Amino acid sequence: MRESDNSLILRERVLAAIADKKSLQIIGGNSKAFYGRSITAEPLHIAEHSGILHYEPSELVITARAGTPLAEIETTLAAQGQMLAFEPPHFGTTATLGGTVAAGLSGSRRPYAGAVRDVVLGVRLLNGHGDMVKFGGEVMKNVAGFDVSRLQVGALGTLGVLLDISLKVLPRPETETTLAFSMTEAQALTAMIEYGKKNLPISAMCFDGEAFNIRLSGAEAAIAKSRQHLGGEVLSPINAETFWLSVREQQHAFFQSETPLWRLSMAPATAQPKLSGTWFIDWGGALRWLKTEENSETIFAAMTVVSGSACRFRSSLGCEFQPLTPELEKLHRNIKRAFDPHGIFNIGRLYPSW
Amino acid sequence: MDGNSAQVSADLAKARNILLAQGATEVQLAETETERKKFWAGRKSTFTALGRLSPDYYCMDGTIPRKHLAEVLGGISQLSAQFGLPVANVFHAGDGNLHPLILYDASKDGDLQRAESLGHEILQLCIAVGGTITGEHGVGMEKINAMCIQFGTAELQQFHALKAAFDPRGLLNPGKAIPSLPRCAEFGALHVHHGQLPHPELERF
Repeated sequence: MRESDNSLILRERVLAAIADKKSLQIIGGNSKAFYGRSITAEPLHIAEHSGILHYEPSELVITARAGTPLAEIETTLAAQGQMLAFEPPHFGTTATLGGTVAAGLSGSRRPYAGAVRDVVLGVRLLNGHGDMVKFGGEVMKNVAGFDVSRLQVGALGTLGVLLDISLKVLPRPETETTLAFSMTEAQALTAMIEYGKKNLPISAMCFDGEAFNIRLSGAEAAIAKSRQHLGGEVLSPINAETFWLSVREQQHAFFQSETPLWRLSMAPATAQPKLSGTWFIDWGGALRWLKTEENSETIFAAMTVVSGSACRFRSSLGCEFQPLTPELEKLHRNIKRAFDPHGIFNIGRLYPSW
Repeated sequence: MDGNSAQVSADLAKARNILLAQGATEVQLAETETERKKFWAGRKSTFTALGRLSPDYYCMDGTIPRKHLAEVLGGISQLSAQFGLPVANVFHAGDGNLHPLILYDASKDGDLQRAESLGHEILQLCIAVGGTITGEHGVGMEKINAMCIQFGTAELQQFHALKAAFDPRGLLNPGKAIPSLPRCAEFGALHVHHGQLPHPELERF
């Protein structure tokens, strides 16, 4: 893999943008271009700023440049029996580490092993003054200063250009088994709540429209004991791997559709919102994908009622996030201004106008 | 160890083998709840036990990458000898979070200042190996000067800008958590690059 430190070149570009009063569109592998609002600005490509800087399996930490391919990071970790436990979706072979952190999306293991936000230990970034600043570090616990590193997660590049990122990694489970049960949606939601309360080595629970699937991870003895208790049909290792990959990458049949796809986030035990369409439930009930023709206002209102949030994820109409309350909107703008006072980075990607 | 009983049993067996392979002289497994609590009492009463050894102690919270544990513990011993104050180490080895306890006597002239200086040197040692001045307890006032060493001017300015986003009028605990640039200048810890003093406009004493 090509390795290159482009920090200084990227810094020059940011300083030039400030001087010319131009805004920049930060692009990594462009695999998640659909996620976030569509914007037009001068592209700032970071994919060439690539390479793993430190990886110490015994410290459970990896530090890499933002343009490093996600696949390269995962292959490197797998060679040492480790993984990114938040199971990041790639959505294409070009996905980078920087884009993964900026998008802040996590896969099926997220409720049980933590989200991308939980594993970001530190970042080096270019802020809107063109300063190269470093926050956090490579240690597991760190409460010196404000948690600026984690603020970058899901900010879609609106708060700076990520240069290097340190992540906590975890050992791969000794063994994994997936059990499938034919169930209705209502039965699956009840099962998720029930199993979530028990001391089971669960690493994923989803309902794909036909079956409730539960993945167990851990020592063989622990899984054997839970399997006895749960029953269900055991998927072969290859079928299980294919299934969870199809969920992570949205290659599952459910996602092959022209109908707008919505991503709804809510407390796992929330009763199914009264919205028309078909559902795919992940994260033990906390993440619900909805294929629907319902209009945005109806969906946003339904999510406000359950204290959740919605995002039109894939649609010919483009991506749209749940509107913020006026108080939160003001706070978000203030934070944006604190990092990007000249309005350089990804203006309009997250919310209109900033 | 956590998880269901089968998981815990499997992990315990593995841990036992690793410990014995590394030369542990004895590995005991708590057989009852009472015994389990007794094992933990050893850890949980260390701080109070140390209170019996010395009239006062000063507890630090630096965190380091685990691979530097031996080096940093060695460095702490050297500093302890240099400052003439004993240091007891109680900590979470698993996550690299150190709690060196500096034993001193506040009734003796200069002891507190020496304890604080020693603590500051320990934190500098933690930063030098890629660690942080605080792992879990945070920065109020007492560690605020060490913030000037862990972070440069641009980072401190970014922290202040972020604070202003939440507290534009500076009403909430002003002066705490993040040091002002004049404070760092006075403390003499602003990083000097290429011999150029940052912010020469700031008054220094």
